[in-house]
Amino acid sequence: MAALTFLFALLAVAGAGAAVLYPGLRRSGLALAATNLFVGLVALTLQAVPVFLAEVVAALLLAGLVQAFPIRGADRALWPPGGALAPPAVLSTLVLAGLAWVALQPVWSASPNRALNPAVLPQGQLVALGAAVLLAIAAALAVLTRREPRRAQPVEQPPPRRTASSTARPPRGRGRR
Amino acid sequence: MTAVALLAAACLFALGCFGVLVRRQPAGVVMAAQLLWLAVVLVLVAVNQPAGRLNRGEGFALLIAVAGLAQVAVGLALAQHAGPDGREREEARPGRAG
Repeated sequence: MAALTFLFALLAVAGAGAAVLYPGLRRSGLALAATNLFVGLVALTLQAVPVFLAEVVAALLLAGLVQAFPIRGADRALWPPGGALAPPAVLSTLVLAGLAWVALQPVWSASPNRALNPAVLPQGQLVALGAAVLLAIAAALAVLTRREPRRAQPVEQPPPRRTASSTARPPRGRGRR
Repeated sequence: MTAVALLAAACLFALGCFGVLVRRQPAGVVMAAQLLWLAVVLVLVAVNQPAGRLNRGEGFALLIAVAGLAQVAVGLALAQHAGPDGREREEARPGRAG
């Protein structure tokens, strides 16, 4: 198990290096998703199964987001974006919120039938969980309400140059003062 | 195993700091910041591992993973509307001409 931890940690660091050093945004986004996955695998070797599941969902969502967003100046997408991204985005946020909800229950192992009751959660954890759910909803809204970037108004062309005769200044003293 | 995870977390954090400082595109900065979140998740899981009774570290790691993912989604949505240098793009305004 220690060898697996070392291997996955090494792969995570390599993926992070690729994500930082690769100039193309989409490929570096895929490297970042792979880093998420390897961090989740390291967590799995440390017996943190919910963190592993959350990181897998995060890696999938991140790969989809990076591919779908029309980021300006990025390299070509590996697959075309589509409106089909919205249901996975909402589903992923719901899964992540549910995982966080379950993992925060202190009485899950003691009495599973009472585990989802919000009354047994301490107040501080409720506040943190509410903040996480709000963030997840904000992320889902940001994904769902994305618009195609509109083109900026074309720059106004300068007026054509006049000929030499028309650009001649009026004689001094006869112009308007 | 804990030492390996902590070492990997330190490397991830250093790479994330490097990316945040060096990257020019807003989306690149957001993605480098995600590495900082990942490092924190790894530290929480690794430190939680020996104790592991109430799994408080796992819970916080999950919260941080959700918050980091939300930050990336919102940051990418913002970066979509920003130009390559991070400034907001000029939108077409019909009444402004002239």
